[in-house]
Amino acid sequence: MTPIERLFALILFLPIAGLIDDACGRYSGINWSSGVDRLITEPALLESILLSVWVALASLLISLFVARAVTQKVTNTHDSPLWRSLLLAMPHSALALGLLLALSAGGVGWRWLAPILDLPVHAQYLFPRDKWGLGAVLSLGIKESAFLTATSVIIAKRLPLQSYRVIAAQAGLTPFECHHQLIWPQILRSLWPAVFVVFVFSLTNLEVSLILGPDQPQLIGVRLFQLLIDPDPLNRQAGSIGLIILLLVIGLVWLVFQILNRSRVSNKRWSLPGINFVARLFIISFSGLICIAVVSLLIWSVTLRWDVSEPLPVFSVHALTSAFSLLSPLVTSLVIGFSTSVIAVCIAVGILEYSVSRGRRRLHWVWWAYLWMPALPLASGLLAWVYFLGGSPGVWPVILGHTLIALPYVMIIVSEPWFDRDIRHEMILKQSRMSVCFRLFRVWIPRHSRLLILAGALAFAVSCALYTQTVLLGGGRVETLMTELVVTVGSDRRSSALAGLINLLLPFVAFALALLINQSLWKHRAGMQGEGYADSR
Amino acid sequence: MLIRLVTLIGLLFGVQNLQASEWVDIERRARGQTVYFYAWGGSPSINQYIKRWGAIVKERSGVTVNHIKVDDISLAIQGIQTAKRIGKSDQGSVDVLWINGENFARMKRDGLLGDSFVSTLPSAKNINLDDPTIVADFSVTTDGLEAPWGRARLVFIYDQRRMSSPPRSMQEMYEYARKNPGRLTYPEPPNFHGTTFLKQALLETTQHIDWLSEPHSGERFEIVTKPLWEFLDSLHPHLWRLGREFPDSAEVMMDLFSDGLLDIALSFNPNDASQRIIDGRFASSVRTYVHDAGTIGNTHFLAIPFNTSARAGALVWINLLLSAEAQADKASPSVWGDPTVIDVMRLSEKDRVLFESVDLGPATLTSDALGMPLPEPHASWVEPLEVAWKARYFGQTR
Repeated sequence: MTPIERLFALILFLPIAGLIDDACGRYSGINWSSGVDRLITEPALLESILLSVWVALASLLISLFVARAVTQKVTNTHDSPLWRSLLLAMPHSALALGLLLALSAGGVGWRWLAPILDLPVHAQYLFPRDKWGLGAVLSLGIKESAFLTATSVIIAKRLPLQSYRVIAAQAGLTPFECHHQLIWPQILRSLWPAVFVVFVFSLTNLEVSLILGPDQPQLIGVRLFQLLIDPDPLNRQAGSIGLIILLLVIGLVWLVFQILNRSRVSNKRWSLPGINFVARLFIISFSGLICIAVVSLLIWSVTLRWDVSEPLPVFSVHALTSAFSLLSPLVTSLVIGFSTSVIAVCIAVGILEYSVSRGRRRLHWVWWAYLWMPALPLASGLLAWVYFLGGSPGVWPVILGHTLIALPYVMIIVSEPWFDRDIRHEMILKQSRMSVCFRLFRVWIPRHSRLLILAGALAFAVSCALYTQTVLLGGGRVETLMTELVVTVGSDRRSSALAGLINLLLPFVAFALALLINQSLWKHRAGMQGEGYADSR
Repeated sequence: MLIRLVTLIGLLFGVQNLQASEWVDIERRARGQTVYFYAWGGSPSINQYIKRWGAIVKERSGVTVNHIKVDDISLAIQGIQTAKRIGKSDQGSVDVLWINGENFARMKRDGLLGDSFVSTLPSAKNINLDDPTIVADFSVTTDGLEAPWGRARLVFIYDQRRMSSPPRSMQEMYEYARKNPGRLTYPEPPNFHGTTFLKQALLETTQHIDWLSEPHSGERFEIVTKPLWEFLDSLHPHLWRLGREFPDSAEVMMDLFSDGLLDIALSFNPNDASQRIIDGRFASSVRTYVHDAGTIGNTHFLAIPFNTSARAGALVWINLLLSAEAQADKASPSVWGDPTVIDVMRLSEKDRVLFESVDLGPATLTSDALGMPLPEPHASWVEPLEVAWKARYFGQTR
C-alpha cells in the first residue's frame, strides 16, 4: 500500500468507526442490546433481507448475462461507444421514475397498450412496485448491464483478442464459442471487483427501491435508512447495528466472491442454442424500456391531467414554467458536477502517475472498496471527517464528497490504459532526461486526453446522480436536480417528471460534449489517434 | 382611584413601548441575516409562495430566506439532535422549521426548541392564542415555542360527475368499497396523510374517544384500537390493488383520482381541490366533503430550534408570514389555499377586506359545511399506531 492508498483507506475506515460508535450507544447512552432488541422487533425484517438478496442476485445475474453478450458484439464489431456511454450516464433514479410512470397501472405504456390488446384500461396490477421486486430488478438490470459492459470492454481491450480468435479457429470453435470459452473467462477474472460493486449497490441502494419498491416490506437498505434518519435515538441505534451487520455480510460475500474467482474455469463448452436469442431479447427489451421511460418522463412533465379512458392527456406548455424553479438547482448541479469532474480527473492522474513511479501495474483494492461501501454510512463518515477538520456542511463538503465517490470510477476507467503504457516510450523519455512533470504534461496527459475527457464526463454523471451524500454533506442546504427529484417524487408528478427529465439530460449533454471534443481533439495528429495507429498506417 | 388608573394606563403603554423597542432591536439585528427555512418542498405552489414572500422579507427587512426543501422533516430534526448531542449550541444549520404533531412533541421533549417567542411577534396580536388548536398541538401544549402558520382539516375529494352521493362515514366507505372494489384507498402510514386517515378511522370506530386525548398507554391501546383493526381487516381486500399496495402520499392519491383510477382522494387542505381545479389538474366537477361525525382538524406551526444562528432573522420571517397580507395571500386557492390562523374579527377594516376578497373556489366547503373539527389524539398515540399498522400489514398482504 502506498501512503496515498493508506490515506484513502483511513478515510474509508472512519464511517465504519462512526457506525460502531453509534451502535454502542456512546452518545445516546442506550445499551447496544436494546438496539438489537429494537432491530429484531422490526416487522417482516427477514422478508426484507430475503427480498434484498433476491433483488441483488437477480439484477447481478441479468446484468452479467447481458454484459457477456454485448461485450461479444462490441469486441467483434468495434461499434461506437456513444450509446454505451449515454446508458452509463443515465441516473438510476431518473430511469426508475421513467419506468414507474411508463409501466405501472395507469402509466403511459398501459394506457396505450390496453386498447390495442383489448384489455381493461382500469386494470390494477402490481408492477413495477410488485411484491417480488421485479421492477427494481428490471431497473437495476438495465443500469448495471451498462456498467458491467463498460468495464468488460475496457478489460477486453487489454486482451490479445486476435490471437484468441486465431487459436479458436484452429481448434474448430465458432466465434461465439471463442468468446464464451476463451475470452469471457479471462474478462471475468478481472471483472470480479465490478461484479461485487453491482451486488453491493443492488443490495443497499436507496433511490431505486424508494421509487420502484417493493413495498410492504421494502428492501433492507430502505428499512435501515428509515431507522437511521429517525429522531428517536433507539431507532437510530438499531439502524446502525443493522448497517454493521450488513457490512459484515458484505465482507463475507466478498470472501465467497474471492473463492469463486480462484476456482478453476469450467471446461464445459457453451453450445446452448437459444442463448444468443435470449440475450438479444434482453437487449431489445431494455432498449425499448429506456425509450418508453424517457417518453413517459417527457409526457408527464407537460401533462395537466389525463383521465385513464382518454388516449391523450390534457397538455399544457404552461406546466413547463415550473422548469424555471429548477434553474437554481440546475446551476448548482452544473457547478458541483464540473468541479467534481475536474478535481477527480486531476487527482486520478496524480495518483496514477505516482503509482507508476512506484512500479504498480494494477489498481489497488482500496479504490474498489469505495464502491462497495453503502452510500449512507459513507456519507455519515465523510460528514464526521468534515466536522473533524473544523468545517461545517455546505457546498465545499458536497464537492469533496462527490469527488471521493467519483474518483474510484475515474481511476477504474483510466488506470488500465495508464498502466499499460508502452515501456519503450517510457524508456526513451527517461533517456531524454525530461522531468517527471514535463513527461506528464507534454506526453502522458495529451496521450490519454480522450480517455480523461470521457472519465470527466463519467465523474460529472456520477455527481449528478448522488443524493444521500448531497443531503448529508450539504446539511440539506445544497439543492441539486437530484435532491429536487427526490423531494418531488411521491408528491407532484409533473414536477418530479420534469426534474427527472432534466436530470436525465444533464449527463447526456456532458457525454455528448465529451465525445464532440474527442472527435475534434488531435484529429490532425496521426500519432495521437491511439496506440499503434501511426505504425499501422 | 384615578391615580391607579393613570398608573395602569402608564404601565400598559410602558409595556407596549418596551415591546415595540424590543421588536425594533430585533429588526435591526435581523438585517443582513440569512434564515434557513426547512419546509416540505413537494408542492410547487407552496414553494412558489415561500419564494415570493422570501423576496418580500429581503426587500422590507434585509433578511435573506433560503427555503430548504425537504421530503421528511425528520432529517432536519436529527441534525439538530446531533448538534445538541455534540454540544453545539449555536451556529446550527436550521433556523426555522415547519412542523406539527409528533415532531413538535419530540423536539419539545428533547429540548431542541429555544425560548418561547410567539408573544414577541407583533403579528401575533391578530391570532387568538387561546384557541384550543393553537394552545395544544396534538394535545401537547405549545407554550409559545411554535407559532401557528395555517390550519388543516381533513376533507375527502370526489367528482360529482362520477359519484352523486359520497360515503359520509367509515362504515359507508366500507360499503362503497365492497360494491366498487379497487376504487378506494388511503396513503401508506407513516405518511402524514396515511396516519391521519388511520386516526380518523380510529375516532370513528372506537368506543373510548376520551382516552385518546390522554397520553398513550399500552393497556388502553389494545382496547381502543381493536375495532379499528377489525374495520381495516375487512376494508383492505376491497381497496385499490387489493390493499397490497398503498399510495406513497396524498398527492399520489390525488394523481390517481385525477386519472380516474380512484373515486375518492383526501387532503388536509380544504382548498386543495379548488386550487387544483384552478390550475387545471382536476376537472371542474370535483368537490369536497367531510364525514357526518366530523373530520380531524389541526394547526401547523413554525418553530425555531435552540441552536439557530439567525434567531432575529427567524423572528422577522415568521412575523411576516403571520401578517394579514401574507396570510390572506396564502388563503387564496390560486396561490396556495391554506386556511388562515388569523382571527379576522381582530383585524382592521382594511386588512379584513383582504380576506373577504379571497375567492375560495368551487370545491371549498363553507365553515358551516365543514363543521367543528375532531381533535387530534394525543401525540404519543401516533407512533404506536403506525408501528402497529406496520406490524399488522407488512409482509402479511402477499
